[in-house]
Amino acid sequence: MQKKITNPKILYDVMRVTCTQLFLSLLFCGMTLANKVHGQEILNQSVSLNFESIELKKALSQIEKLAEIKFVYSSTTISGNEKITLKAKNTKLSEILHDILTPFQVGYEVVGSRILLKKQINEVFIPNEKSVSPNLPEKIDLSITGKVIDETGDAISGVNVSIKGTSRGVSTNANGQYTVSVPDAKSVLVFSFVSYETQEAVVGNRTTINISLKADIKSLNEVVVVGYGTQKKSDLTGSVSTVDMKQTLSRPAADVSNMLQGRVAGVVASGSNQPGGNGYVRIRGISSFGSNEPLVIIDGVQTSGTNSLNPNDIESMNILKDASSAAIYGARGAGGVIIITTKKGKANKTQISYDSYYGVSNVTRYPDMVNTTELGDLLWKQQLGAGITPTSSQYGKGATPVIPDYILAGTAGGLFEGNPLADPSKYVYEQNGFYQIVRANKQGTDWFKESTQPAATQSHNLSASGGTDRAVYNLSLGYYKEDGLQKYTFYDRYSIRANSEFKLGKKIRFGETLFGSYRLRQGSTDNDEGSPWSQAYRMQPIVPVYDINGNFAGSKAAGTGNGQNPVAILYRARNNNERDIRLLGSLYTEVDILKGLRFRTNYGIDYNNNYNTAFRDVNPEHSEGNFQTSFSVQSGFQYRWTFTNTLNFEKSFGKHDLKFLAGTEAVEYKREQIGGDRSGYYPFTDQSFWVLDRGNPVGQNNTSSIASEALFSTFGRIDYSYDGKYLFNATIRRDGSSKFAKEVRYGNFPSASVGWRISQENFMKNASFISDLKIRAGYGVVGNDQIDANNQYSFYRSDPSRSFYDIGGSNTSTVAGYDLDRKGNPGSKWEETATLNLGLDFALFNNALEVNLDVYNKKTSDLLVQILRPGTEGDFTAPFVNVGNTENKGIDLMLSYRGTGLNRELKYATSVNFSAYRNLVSSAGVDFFTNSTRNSPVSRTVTGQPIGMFYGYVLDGFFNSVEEVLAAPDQPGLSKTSNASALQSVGRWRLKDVNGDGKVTADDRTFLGSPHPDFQMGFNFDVAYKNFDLNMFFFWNYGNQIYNNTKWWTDFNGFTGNRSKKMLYDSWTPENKNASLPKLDINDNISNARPHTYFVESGSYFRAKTVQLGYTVPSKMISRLGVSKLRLYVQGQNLFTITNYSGSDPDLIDVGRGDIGLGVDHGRVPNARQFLAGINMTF
Amino acid sequence: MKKIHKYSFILTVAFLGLFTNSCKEDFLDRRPVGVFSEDALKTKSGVNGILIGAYAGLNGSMIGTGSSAGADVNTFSNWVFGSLTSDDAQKGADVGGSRSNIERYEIAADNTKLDDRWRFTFDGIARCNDVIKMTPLVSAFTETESKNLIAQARTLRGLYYFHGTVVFGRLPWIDEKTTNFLQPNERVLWKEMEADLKFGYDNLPETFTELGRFNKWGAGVFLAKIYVFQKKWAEAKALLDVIIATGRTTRGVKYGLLPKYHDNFRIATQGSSADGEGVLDAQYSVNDNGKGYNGGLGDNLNFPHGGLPTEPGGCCGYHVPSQDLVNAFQTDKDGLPFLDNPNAQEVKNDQGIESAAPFTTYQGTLDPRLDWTVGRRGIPYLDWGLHPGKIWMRDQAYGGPYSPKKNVYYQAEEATLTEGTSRQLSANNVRIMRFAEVILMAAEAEIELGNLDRGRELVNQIRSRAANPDGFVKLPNGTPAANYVIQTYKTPWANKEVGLKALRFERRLELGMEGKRFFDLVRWGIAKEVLNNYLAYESTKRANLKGAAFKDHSGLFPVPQRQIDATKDAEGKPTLSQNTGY
Repeated sequence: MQKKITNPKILYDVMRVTCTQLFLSLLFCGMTLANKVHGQEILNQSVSLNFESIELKKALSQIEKLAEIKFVYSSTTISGNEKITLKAKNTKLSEILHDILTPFQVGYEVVGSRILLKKQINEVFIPNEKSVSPNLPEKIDLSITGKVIDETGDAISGVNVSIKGTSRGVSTNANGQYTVSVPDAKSVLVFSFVSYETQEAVVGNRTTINISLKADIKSLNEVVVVGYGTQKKSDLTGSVSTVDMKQTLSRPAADVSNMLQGRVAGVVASGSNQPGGNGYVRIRGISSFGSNEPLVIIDGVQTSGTNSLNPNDIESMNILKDASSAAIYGARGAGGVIIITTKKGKANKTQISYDSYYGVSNVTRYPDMVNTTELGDLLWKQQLGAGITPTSSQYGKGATPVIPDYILAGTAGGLFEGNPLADPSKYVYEQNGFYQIVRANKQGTDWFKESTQPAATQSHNLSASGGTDRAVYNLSLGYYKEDGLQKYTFYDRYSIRANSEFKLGKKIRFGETLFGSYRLRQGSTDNDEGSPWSQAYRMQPIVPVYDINGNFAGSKAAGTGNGQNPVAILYRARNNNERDIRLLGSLYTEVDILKGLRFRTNYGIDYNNNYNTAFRDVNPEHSEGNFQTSFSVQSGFQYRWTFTNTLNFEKSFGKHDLKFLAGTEAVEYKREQIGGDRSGYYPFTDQSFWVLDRGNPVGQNNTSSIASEALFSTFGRIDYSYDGKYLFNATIRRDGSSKFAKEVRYGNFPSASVGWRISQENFMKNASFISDLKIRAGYGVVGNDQIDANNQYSFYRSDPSRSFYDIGGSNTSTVAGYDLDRKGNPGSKWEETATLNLGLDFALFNNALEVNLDVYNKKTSDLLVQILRPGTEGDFTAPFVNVGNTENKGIDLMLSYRGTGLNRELKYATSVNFSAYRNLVSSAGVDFFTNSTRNSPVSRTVTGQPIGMFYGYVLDGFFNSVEEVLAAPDQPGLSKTSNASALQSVGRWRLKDVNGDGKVTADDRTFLGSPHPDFQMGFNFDVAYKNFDLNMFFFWNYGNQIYNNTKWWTDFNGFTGNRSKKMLYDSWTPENKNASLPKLDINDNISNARPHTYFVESGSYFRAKTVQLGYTVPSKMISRLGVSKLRLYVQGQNLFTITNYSGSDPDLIDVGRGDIGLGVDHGRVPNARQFLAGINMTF
Repeated sequence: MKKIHKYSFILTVAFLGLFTNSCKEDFLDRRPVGVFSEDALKTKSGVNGILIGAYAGLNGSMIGTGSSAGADVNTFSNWVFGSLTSDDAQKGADVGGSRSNIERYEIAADNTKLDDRWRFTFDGIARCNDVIKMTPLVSAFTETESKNLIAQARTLRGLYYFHGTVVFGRLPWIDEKTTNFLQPNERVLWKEMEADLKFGYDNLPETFTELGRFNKWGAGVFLAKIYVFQKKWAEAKALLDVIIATGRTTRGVKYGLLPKYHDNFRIATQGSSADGEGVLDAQYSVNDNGKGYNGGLGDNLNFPHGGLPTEPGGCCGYHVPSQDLVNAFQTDKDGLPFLDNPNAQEVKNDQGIESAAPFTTYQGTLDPRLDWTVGRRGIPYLDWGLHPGKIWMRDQAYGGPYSPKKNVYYQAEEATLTEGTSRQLSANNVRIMRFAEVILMAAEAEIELGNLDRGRELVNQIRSRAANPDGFVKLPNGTPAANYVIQTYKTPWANKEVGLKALRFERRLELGMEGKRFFDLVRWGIAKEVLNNYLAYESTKRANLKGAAFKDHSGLFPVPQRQIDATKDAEGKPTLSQNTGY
């Protein structure tokens, strides 16, 4: 077969496997064919029956057979003693149900093909005697209107408003309003809606009945999205967290990862500090040395990265945390799974809503650096400390530093007014004869402030949804714009969402989800040690931002190092951009083949097309700058399609409830890219010349690359419950991945879990304060194949810069050669993570207090690691090999309490989530490092320690005298050959002889701290009083350390640049032996040459993440404007942070250097304090 | 209704049944695109290409991905480990940076520059081993071809081992048969290097059409160098005699000195048909789609500082000659160097003087090679005009008044022989070995063996070439740029010690700034004395050396800690051992 037509091939295969399962399922269900009715239609079918004093349960099961429906109820609802008598002929089912259930205060509700029976306990409105007029004339079709809202005052559309005892009913519209005709004043209206407690109201003499529905968080029918299906929350046996999207979305955030921080127990998340950047989400710690990214499923499509998604489109977000829930995703499940479904329409009148906010962010923490005068002092002290007569190209040669008037004129520095060199007429800003004149900034430039800005954020989201019973839709348009905290950077996102579903007959449903976005990241996106933020501490304060003629000034002035003016970098990169178009969508068909048997096919694709351009402008003010220019273009596309076919079968018999799922899935990923660059644009550097062809063809470069991956899987799941009390679940998935060689390509990932709903037991009946009590246990195995797709292959490359050589001595051309690029490991196989999860869910006092507790033990084996190989093997990309095991033990705890007061006008809810894990490398296989810093590796992952421990020397105070130096054990950098050489070390740090062998060597390196927090906690408080609502969210991260590598630059003789105030004021002197830093000595290359404890700091912090105050405008004030709901709010983000960390931000997620280099601060823009105001409107 | 559902079901099954052919394994086979499997390269052109890959290391920038990782310490110019560690030069530039600890002999074992050099060395060796291993597997090769390829690869391997040995001393032995890469570093691998180079010497042809290859004589020269390093003077002399008598360049040009000293450092004359001096060059090339990696990336910091078209290279003021080196070029009235205490008088410089202020160049007598080795104020800097002094310095107060010169290209070559994106990358080769050094090695062997006259005669060959007035730096008016006075040693040396002193001094003058000085001092066993004297003198001029000291162990650099850590055996015991003193 030809390579090109891959898709049909997989189609054949998927179909083949699907068919096999199809037959199995058919056998299983016994081939009963019958009419299948759905939803509301169930109630309208006519039934004939005849019951003579029969037990209600039996009656129900007969109805089940006759009407091909399924009743769901608990033993508290129907005990078994109820008897009924009823005769009916061609009567609507709804009427029959009313007749037989009402006497026992049992209500019903249709959910899918099931009818849920439940006790009617809420009767909200009891009209008092006075309000009921005894002489009320009987009226036919009394018209009642009203509005249904939820506890926060939001209108609820689609609420079923029915007249008790009849089949008449309506639904509320998009504004939550309804109009219904009732026969008389005694009529009782029943308000029911999924996830809310059903309420009843006697009409009485009212014509308007407004109802506030109370969320029924433990309602039987609350549905949780799990892998390839849904499950009732009460039936869950695995560890699945549901993100409360309503609550989450009420607090604006740029990205899903921002929204998750502190919200869900067991999930560590952090947004990007750069507009449009990738956030970070880790579920239950870090178990792999490689990728620990969770799998993200959006509408059934495997994706990675949520940063282009419009959060407003999200209907639900569920997080599968343990293996028993994630094992259905097999090989991709080890990092946990985030399942996102987007909003679908509801059969209803069109509802239009508009949500918007505008906010401003500010950097509030800046490193504390010296000013111009102080830097002079520091330079003098440093030279004196080295025994040198101080001199500086700028500050002169005197006894004290003198700040000059000019730091640069031509190439001279340290000049004063009147110096002919600084005559402005000499100024030339051109390649030929370049002559720059720069005044000294005598006060000092604050480079951090100069390069940052208050950043505006705005978001607009307009959505429309609605539909009929045959078709529903949801459309939305989104616009999001975020200015960067660094000047001249911003991010724009335009997005569109179009979801729809159609019914074809009664048994077939088609649907699609489509998301399109256009994103633009403009300006510098560098976030590492070369970033503008990091340059800000490499620039001396004496350098102003601009020269005398308004062009950029920089480190060209002698003695000012080689930092780059960060404002110049940002300005010149202002037109560089990264643009992409992403299409993420799915098409699906569901067919109800037989009663209880449903086939679903889903094809989804995540497609991305990007185009990036960057121009390197002239930078003659930079010490290493010049007039060279270049322009590069990079473009490519990538896609990942997921084709899934599943069969679902559900059957209940007696107290047995059985669900069965079987499916196949194929995933293909492909990426192709091209890029090119040319140089030599000067002097034509403005954007109108930015095409490759404009550049010099000599020295041009071009590249292209292709990569692809594929995954093929079969899977199945069984859910069984007995009497709603005993729950059992088992899954199995078999995955084949292209990343592994044929022999080891397949992995099997099984899981099983059980649950016991103790609260359903008879012996618990009397404990009425217990609303729910369930214990769960699950065990499963999931896999991880997140390694380079070429891992199994060894190959050579032909690379002009690495393996070509000018063997002929031509000077301008090379002969092609080859060198080993990669050594493959055909034996590499899946990482496997086995998790034991024990869970306890309970709810007390009518669900007011709810507790979810999970404890887990996650053992990962066959870790895929790119181990440090001896250099003697040569230089190549080393393969991942399966070595080592890790363990994560942890607790996820969620507590929530909800209540009301002041006549229900005050509502409050508070929740606390707590996550803690203990990570341990039970066997690393070998030692290895990360290549995480400029100098020495600082992180080490080794057996018996957590992943990525900081590793280095321990400081043991200072050498306070020559005698101490001479008496000290030998150690790196210490010279004891003479008193004179020993004197050099006085005031320097003493390294600790950790192993006590009398000398300090590499063997004295030890573990200096852990990047893993002891725990993280989120505190959420919601209070609503009348039309006001207040939300506060706090986040506490405790117990981790950070390796603050920015100190390498600011506190020592790193590169010439600026220095911290601490270095000037708290360095060792004979008078200050209790200092933070060693003696100032310009020739001290020792003190920062090795990783040691000075760099390690506590990373604990407590942060007020969000405080939001909202006001819902009373509907009567706005209804005539056609607005059904209007809420206004103000919000503060990151209002304060309590921390001892000295770097810019302890919320440090170092994306891009890998999880084994976690917690190393390379300098980055901190999270900002943000104030915003927003509006939510519904029409 | 029932019928309809039956039909729809049957149809579904039929639809699915159509596609039951399995192509699953094809679907899951995803081979990398655009790369070469070992099998694909088991051909003549494949193995030849791998050999080119092995040569590619000579440009110093083959390891790492995407950045210039380690090129500064890997380049065969050896400016970091061989030059700024010596009395020739300093790091320069400005305060701080990552090489100060090297020039101050304070480098720690976990410094990444050590790891870069180690990995580079063994990557070169691995590339050679690939050729040696794969050549016999290609049946299309004739025996001659096969032997030729293996001999080139083994010679290169010897060179890579030597490149690592001068820095680390003891190295583990890895050859084409090695499968366990955890080999100990028990001793200096002189024997193995000798064997490789001897194999090359015995089996390589004398000429190649391609200039850059190792020929028989090239292999012989490096074999002689290995002898010299081991003080095997008799073997060295015997071999060098043959080489001097009959050696030829790859192009077949009889070994000999270029008429003008500076022609060694000019792109135009390197490898020309008149060039009998180039024994082995790192063949640099630019604008060849290699992003500049083939154009002397390792020396890209070593230019006057500035960034204007009038400033060569434009960055970054590193590798600056020392005052001590400049003083060494002083000559006495007889045109001979001051072998004892050349720092007694100093060559005047423009330290602290603005470029705009007047300055008169030193009028004392000088060896003309000074001004091809060191850039200094008032002397023509190739065709870039007179060196303007301070304005070309990055921070003269820190780095001093001198610029490097041998690696610099001519202004006329800008853009054609420099890389489009970076003026600091040019086609100016590094002369890894030139015939002048062959003569000096021969002279050293002769003197060591007591043949003082023959030794003197050889040294005088070097000095005679330097004395060619055509080769002096000249002012625009055609007159010599300084007071150049140089003569040969006319009087016989009194004894071996005097001879050796003269020889060693001559090596310094002839090979100044070429990255060999430190290794010479170490092999002569005089590094501690010479360098501490140098530090005492030079630190009165340059604050960066104040307090620095060469210690007993400083002649070798530490084995990279990362490599020690990477070679632990099952018991956690490293197979590599650290050099003494670290």
